[in-house]
Amino acid sequence: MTVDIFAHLAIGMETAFSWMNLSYCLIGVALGTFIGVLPGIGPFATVAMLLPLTFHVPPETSLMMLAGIYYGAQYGGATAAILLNLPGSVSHSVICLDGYPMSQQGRAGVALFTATISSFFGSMVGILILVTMTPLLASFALKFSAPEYFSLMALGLISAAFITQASPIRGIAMILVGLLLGIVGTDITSGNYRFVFGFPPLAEGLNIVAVAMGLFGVPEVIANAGRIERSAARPGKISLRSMLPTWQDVKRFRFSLLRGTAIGAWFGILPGTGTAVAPFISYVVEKKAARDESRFGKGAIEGVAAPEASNNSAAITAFIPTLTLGIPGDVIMALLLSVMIIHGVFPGPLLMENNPDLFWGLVVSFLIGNIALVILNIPLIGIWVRLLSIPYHVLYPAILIFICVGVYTINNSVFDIYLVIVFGFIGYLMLLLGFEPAPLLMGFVLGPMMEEHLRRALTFSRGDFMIFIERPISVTFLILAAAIIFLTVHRQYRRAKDSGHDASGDNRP
Amino acid sequence: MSSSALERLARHFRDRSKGYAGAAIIIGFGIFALAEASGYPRGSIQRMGPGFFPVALSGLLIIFGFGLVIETCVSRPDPLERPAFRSCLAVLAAIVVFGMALERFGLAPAVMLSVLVSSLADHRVTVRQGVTSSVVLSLLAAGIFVEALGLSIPIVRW
Repeated sequence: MTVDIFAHLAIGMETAFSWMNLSYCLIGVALGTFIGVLPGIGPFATVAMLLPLTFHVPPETSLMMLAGIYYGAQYGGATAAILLNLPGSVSHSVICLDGYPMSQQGRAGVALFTATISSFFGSMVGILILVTMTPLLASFALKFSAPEYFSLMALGLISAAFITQASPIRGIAMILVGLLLGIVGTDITSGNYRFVFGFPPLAEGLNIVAVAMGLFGVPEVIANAGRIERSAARPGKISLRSMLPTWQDVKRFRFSLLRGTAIGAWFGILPGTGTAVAPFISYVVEKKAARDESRFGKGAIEGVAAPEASNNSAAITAFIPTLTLGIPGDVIMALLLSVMIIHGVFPGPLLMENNPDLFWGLVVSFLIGNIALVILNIPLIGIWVRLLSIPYHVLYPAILIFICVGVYTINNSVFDIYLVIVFGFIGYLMLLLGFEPAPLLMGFVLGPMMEEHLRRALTFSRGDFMIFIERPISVTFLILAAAIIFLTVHRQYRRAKDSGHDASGDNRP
Repeated sequence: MSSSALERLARHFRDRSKGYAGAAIIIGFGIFALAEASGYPRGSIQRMGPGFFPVALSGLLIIFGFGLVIETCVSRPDPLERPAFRSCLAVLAAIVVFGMALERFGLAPAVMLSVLVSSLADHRVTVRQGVTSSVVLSLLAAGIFVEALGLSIPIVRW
């Protein structure tokens, strides 16, 4: 087994250490950190924008860069959260709670350093889990057939709807809308046009990048264009000495690292959730695990270390279901999945056998990328801070142009640009009405696949729905999904009852 | 007596406009999808036709739309925020302009025009800032996309 790993890593290093792959990887992580630092534009938008530009390079190169953007952003996002109380992306919102107070207490350097180290720890352990679990999962997944895939995708959608939402009903509605949008186009089995309404470009389905940019990128710009002022970053001097945490700090957060990483890995592997959820749960767990809960919200270093470790480990482990099963671990994985498919690489249990250079090259690139990120981030903290003072009104037109050009270059189709407008409008409407776009996109990506698996499963079982429950793996996924539904509804019910008691002065946490 | 009840009812709806508006749109979309999908051959459970899945999904969507109505009914007030009309219009118009200008006039003019339009979104941006940004960005765009990345978009077309 050890000999195997070395042989695999050798293949990986051979692939990863080519000039092209190395440079794309490093560009990816640098860009990712930069994007992560900037508030208002996240890794998803960047990956979506750059996706079309990677079509002319081999798949492993494109994946190395896009993945680099993804986990690189998990490093940088803490910077704006700590210095400006503005998260670089959703997964860093929770870092504001204790990171910003720390910088107000003059400990910005320590917070930033801790964030970087925690990210590194989370990533490294994540890579370890990726390397050990993927072969196991692959051999397990060979037993999968249509019912198992359907149930697993259902589990993924349910977790996306229930765990990340305040209102699960909204989450499910979004998933259903996404599933319906995924149906637009030509039905594979029968060849019928569905929801095409006589528009020939629609016959090939909706372009995922156009939909994604419209739903995620455009509403951000609309909402922030008139609002975000020039950011007022005033960090003062940050010297290397001042960044090092004290021994007492380290004693406090060493177990937070482990807990955070574990939570991140769990949510990363679970399809449908990942970097968005793990940091929040990790923060809550740290708070409960601490001896003195009242320190949280006032600069508790565990509140920075654990969420940072968890969002990095989630980012890496999200590759596990994506590569082994072809089921995206989260929305960015869905984009990377489409990259692979467009290049003719089919993720699945046989990926490690058929494309070992891609898989192991990717793993080694993760190692290189993370090491590069630690080296990058620590000295460059000052530069990132200066960058944060670019006024938003210069930035957002550039973002729009990137979106437009990026979408156009996929099919050289102006129609796709108009799709961005339609979905931009829908996306902004959703923002106003309180609907989350992520479950919609998950449904959009998984829709056609789910229908296919459902169809096959039912054909095989001659119309018997019990097949999903009779097969052990499938029923396990469904039970997990039911558990998530039950726990979420239960939690909501408890919260509703508790808030009824608040007025009477009840002292419940 | 009845006018105050009517007032309370109106306030109930206005306070929860976010939920009700959202539910209405969801139900509307569901009905639309259902109407369209019921025209496709449905097949049977054993051999699902193209219409089976969409009909089922739209049906579920309508049900959940009503579920949202109920949820909104019992929830706490959460009214719609004021939409940023100006930004919305400016940003969407900017993309329209880009789409129309790209193939007719080329990349640089398309960038210039759309940046000009998009600068309307932020009322603090002056005319001079808008023009500067548009020129700079169109040059940058030509440089990055066509020269550096080798995309086959004409920079200017007469």
